[in-house]
Amino acid sequence: MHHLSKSRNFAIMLIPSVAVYTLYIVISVFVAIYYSFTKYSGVGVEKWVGLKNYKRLLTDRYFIIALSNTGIILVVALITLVVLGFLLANLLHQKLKIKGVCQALIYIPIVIAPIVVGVIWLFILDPSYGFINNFLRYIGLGDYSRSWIGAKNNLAAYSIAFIYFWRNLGYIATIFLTGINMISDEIYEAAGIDGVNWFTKMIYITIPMLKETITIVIVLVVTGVFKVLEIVTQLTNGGPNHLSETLVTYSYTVSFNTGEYGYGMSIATVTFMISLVFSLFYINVINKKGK
Amino acid sequence: MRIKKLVAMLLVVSMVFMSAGCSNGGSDSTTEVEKNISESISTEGSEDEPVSFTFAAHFADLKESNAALYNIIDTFNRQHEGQIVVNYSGSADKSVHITAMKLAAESGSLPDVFFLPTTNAVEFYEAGYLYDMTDMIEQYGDLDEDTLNSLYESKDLQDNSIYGLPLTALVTGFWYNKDVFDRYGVAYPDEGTTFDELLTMIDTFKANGVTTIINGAKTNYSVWAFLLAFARYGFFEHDKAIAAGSDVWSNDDFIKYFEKIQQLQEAGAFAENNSVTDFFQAKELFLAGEAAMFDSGAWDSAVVSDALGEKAGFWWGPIFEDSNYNQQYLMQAPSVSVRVNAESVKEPEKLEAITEFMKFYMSPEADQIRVDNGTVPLTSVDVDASNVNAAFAKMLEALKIEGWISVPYQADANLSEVVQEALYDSMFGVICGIYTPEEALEIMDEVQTRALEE
Repeated sequence: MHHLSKSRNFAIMLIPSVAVYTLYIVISVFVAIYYSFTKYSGVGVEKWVGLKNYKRLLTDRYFIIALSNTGIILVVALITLVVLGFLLANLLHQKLKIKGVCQALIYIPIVIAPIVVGVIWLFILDPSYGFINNFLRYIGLGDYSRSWIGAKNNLAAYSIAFIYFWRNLGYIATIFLTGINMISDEIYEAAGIDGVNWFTKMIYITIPMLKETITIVIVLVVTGVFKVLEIVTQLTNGGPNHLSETLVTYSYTVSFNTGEYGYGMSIATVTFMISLVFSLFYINVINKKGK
Repeated sequence: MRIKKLVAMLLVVSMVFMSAGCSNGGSDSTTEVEKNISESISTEGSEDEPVSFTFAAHFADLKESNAALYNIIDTFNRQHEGQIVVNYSGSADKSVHITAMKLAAESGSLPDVFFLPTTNAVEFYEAGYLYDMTDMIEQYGDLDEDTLNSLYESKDLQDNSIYGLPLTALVTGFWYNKDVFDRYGVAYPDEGTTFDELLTMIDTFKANGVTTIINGAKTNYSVWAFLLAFARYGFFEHDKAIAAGSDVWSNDDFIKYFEKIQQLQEAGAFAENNSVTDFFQAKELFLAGEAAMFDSGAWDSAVVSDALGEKAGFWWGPIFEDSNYNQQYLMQAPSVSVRVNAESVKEPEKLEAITEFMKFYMSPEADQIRVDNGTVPLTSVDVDASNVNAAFAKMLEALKIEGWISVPYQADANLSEVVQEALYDSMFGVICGIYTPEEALEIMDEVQTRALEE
């Protein structure tokens, strides 16, 4: 153990991962930032245009739509995943006979590839052939059928948020459950002796002791939302007419469909900065509160 | 202690190998684009080995998606067994393929022969990636006069040299299902059918819960019949001035045309879920009898014929009685072009092999293969059309309507990528009820203005 704990040996073992990470992630980010200041079609020589791409973002209606949709997905995902994930984890922490089966079942959606998730939900949400609308019509509630995706009403952003929640609930609940399992039962027993009910235990024991877990979950949800691509691509392909684009899908569309790599990289850079600032801000606030 | 050191070193070495494996991108982690690039094989010929080169196009399963091209390559390979081998490399669809070609070009692994739309031709030409095919075409080709003239009008012509050869003649319009028309007592459309008559058809189909026109808005470029109909409202009388900046998209003629599209949308011509259906799903729905008409082209003649047989029909779309322009337009324009990598032809053996292939590609024998597989011929030589599939036969009949002429090129062919995408968005925006005609064309003007400024 003394041997393994030496910093030099740590460094040696970390070098391969750090090298790959630097080459394929860090350098790629800087290359993308560089291209965001250019006009580049993917072929030939790029042309430096300075802040022109960023100025264009301010008046680009589709960028505003993508930003708004990403915001909707973020708020819905944060509220549902953090709250319901936590409550589900508490439920799974109880002594249930079928706990193992439940844990396995709730974890299944995260195992399904996101592109398959998009295809599955397309068959559920399709306005004409989808399961939901056809079921509503079948039980006489056809008036409640909606264009969940693919219409001007843009329920698509909420539909995408729900799908993201459905896919990640089990994963987030598992993270919470791991955190809850690390809290000593003696604390709960002592509180129980003092007559504290389950709700008060949750508020005054469980949540404070899960502060770091909650931070991790929020950062995971935030960074995950900013990477939603395959679900949107399969469900709506960002349509109709970019109404259901997210920041990532719009960056992809601009870069690879319209051949404006420079502008696409400016969208990607803004996405990265928003995600980074949000995560760092939250971590900073939590750390300050902790002190 | 020694064992611990040994274990630590083994861990480090295994991580290095795993990292190298990740960076090489094994087949499990390779994207479609990267896979196509890595499959581009190019070997120099030797006395014993045949000369091989790669042909890349946007058909993942060539035999299924483009039987004509598959059989042309296969026939050529068999005729030149032991001397020349053409290796085919395919992409899932057009946009994936274009991205792959751009990446390949920048990484020095561009295939030897590859499909590339005219829209992207200019930037590849300016970057020096394209081989001048003028001599090849003029020496060996016997192209249809209209095809050749169109080449000289398009962006495939740069500095009086031709840098691309059409993959095929592009023939697009509406396939229709006669069974669906018969079921509801609707007369089949023909070259005299007006827009008002089409609206009447839509009323009947809608009353019976049938989609009149299906095209799949999730595939944003599946508006071929609408690009053809654009000519009937003077597209080709406006497009060059628009490109030069002296005209606008939101002119009266185009507004009238987009208003017609809006009328179709308001009449219920399109599927309710059109915006979440892609082209391939639309095709399946049409073949299953869920829609009366399908916006497509010659490439689908085989599947349409398999599904519908003699019950397949082909139509160029309605004529518009309020338009001041020629209405008798059909589509038999050059399709997207095959191009040759300028680097590849620096090897004399490879240049000879590619020339030999292109000579065959432009030959009457290849044209017969095209016709036998439901694709319109490129050359001016008469071919035997007695064995074509039923749907393709209907298309060939439609091509012979007296007095009808082909548009010089498809409306999107000479537009820049950005303007082209905006045109698809605008059309589908009106089709899906998202934009009014004025909004759709204002977007076109914004994009065009920005493209001109840059």
